Amino acid sequence: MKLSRLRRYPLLPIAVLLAILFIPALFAEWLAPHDPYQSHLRNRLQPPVFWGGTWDFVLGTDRLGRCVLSRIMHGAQYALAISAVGIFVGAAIGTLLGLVAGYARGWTDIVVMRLVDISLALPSILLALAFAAAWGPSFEAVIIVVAFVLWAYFARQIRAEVLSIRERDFVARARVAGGSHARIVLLHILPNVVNTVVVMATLQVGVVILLEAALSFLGIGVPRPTPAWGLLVADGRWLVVSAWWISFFPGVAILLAVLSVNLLGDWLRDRLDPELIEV
Amino acid sequence: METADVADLLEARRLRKHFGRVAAVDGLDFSLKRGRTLAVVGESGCGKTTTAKLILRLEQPSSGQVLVDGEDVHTLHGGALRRFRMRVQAVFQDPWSSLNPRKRVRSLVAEPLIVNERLGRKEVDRRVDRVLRDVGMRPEQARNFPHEFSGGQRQRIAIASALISNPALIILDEPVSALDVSIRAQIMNLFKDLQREYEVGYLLVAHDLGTTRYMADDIAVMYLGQIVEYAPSEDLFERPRHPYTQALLSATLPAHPDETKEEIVLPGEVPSPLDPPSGCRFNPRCPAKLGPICERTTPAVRDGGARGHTVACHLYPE
Repeated sequence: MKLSRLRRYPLLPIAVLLAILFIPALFAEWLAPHDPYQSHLRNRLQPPVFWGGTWDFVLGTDRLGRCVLSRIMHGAQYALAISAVGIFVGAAIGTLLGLVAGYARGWTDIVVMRLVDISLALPSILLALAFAAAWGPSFEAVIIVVAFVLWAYFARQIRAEVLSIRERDFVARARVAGGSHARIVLLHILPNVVNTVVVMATLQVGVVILLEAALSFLGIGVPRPTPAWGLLVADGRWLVVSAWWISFFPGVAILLAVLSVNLLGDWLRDRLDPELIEV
Repeated sequence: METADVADLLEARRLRKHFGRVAAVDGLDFSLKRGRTLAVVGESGCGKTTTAKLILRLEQPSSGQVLVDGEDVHTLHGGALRRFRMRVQAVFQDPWSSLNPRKRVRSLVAEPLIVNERLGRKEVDRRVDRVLRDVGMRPEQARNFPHEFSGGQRQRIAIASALISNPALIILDEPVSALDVSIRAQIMNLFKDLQREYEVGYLLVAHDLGTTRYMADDIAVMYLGQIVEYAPSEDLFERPRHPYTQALLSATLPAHPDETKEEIVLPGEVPSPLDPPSGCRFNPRCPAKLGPICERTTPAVRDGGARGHTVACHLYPE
């Protein structure tokens, strides 16, 4: 009952996303109470305010005395930027290849789909290790890894839809009208898969936040001392018994962001279902 | 093949199309004059849709030719191909599948103009207006999306789009069979009115003879990729020669309820085109089979007793 209401009115997920992802990402400079990189050596390992700490450091401080809340807020920038850019690049490449493979069929299709198989068979963590080893950990490397991991999902899904769309009579009609292949693919078929791309992209945000966190946690993502969420969790892992808040709050941020994005994606999928729209 | 009179609007010569080992269309010859209607009738799988696709250049023939205005359709390119795309249009069976759900009526209807001609917005709007009126719709409906319309109206939109480039030939692929029975007559009347107004020729593909009687001047009956009987519409209905045509006719409702007739029920299914019967392809199901000759010899096309009436059946003398 609760869950079905959540899906019909996605106000809660949107509110949560705004609160922990979008607003901090855009306004961290003004909203964050402290500089995320500044150490307050006299206030190291301060507990959060409800655990005996002070209002000065609401969610406590880490072992260098940096404000956990400020670091989470700045970390949202990296989560958002990496999701947005990585997914955009991955979705664009995957959609384009899926359109071409599904429309052209034949050898083009076979080549693209084998590349998809290969890409899906490569473990993303291993891939990230290779990139990190080649170029060193960096923001750009993470985005490339994200795009590289995602494109195949888009290509496979879009190709499948194009295979069915291309058999519909409106495509035959467009050919009878004399449209070029490029015109048919871009003007007639693409608008019919945009919904799928948008829904998939939304559902991938959760995956990417987790991936970025995992890469950062392993030290092959965004380099220190950037306050990426995965790094924040990693920073606290030796102190998790005595100073649990260092890892716990970034973990909660990851959990809430991923959960909300997935709920929003489900809702969007239901809303954009063309069958439901046409009724 | 230069003849004194003008070339036919549409002509098929020894037209063949194989998909792997399947001969979907196996040696068709027919022609259509300007402003006239030729119906191609047959059960599903007889190759009539493939024939339509071959004429529309959606498929390449394995051999043979399709001529429009005396020009081989499959060798056209450049400007000649663009002219062909303007002159030959199509209306498909299912108006739910043939209208892109993401486009407004205006761009659906204007597509052939936008692709092939450089016209200003105003001129396109004017042509869309006119053609929408001609198919019985209101010009302001150009702003709507297809899902806002009923099946009959959707088919009117598809017809408008087929007409906008002033074509000489429109391929009608079962244009009313997806519609409610109550509006089929309206749409068929519309086709006839438009034919007079635009002087357009129709190639009508249909699976039953009933709908074709009203529209067609000539009828070609197809069975397993071949034409078994070809006749002027009236003559075919009065004096069907081929046993297959007779069976198809007996399955349609009589024109008048007092008319009595016996329905000929054909035994078995249409044989697989992968392994068509030898001799006359209809012989395993034929109620009038003569004997071994039907299994051994492919019947040649012969005179069906009236002008323009031909039949491929051993029952009649060559």
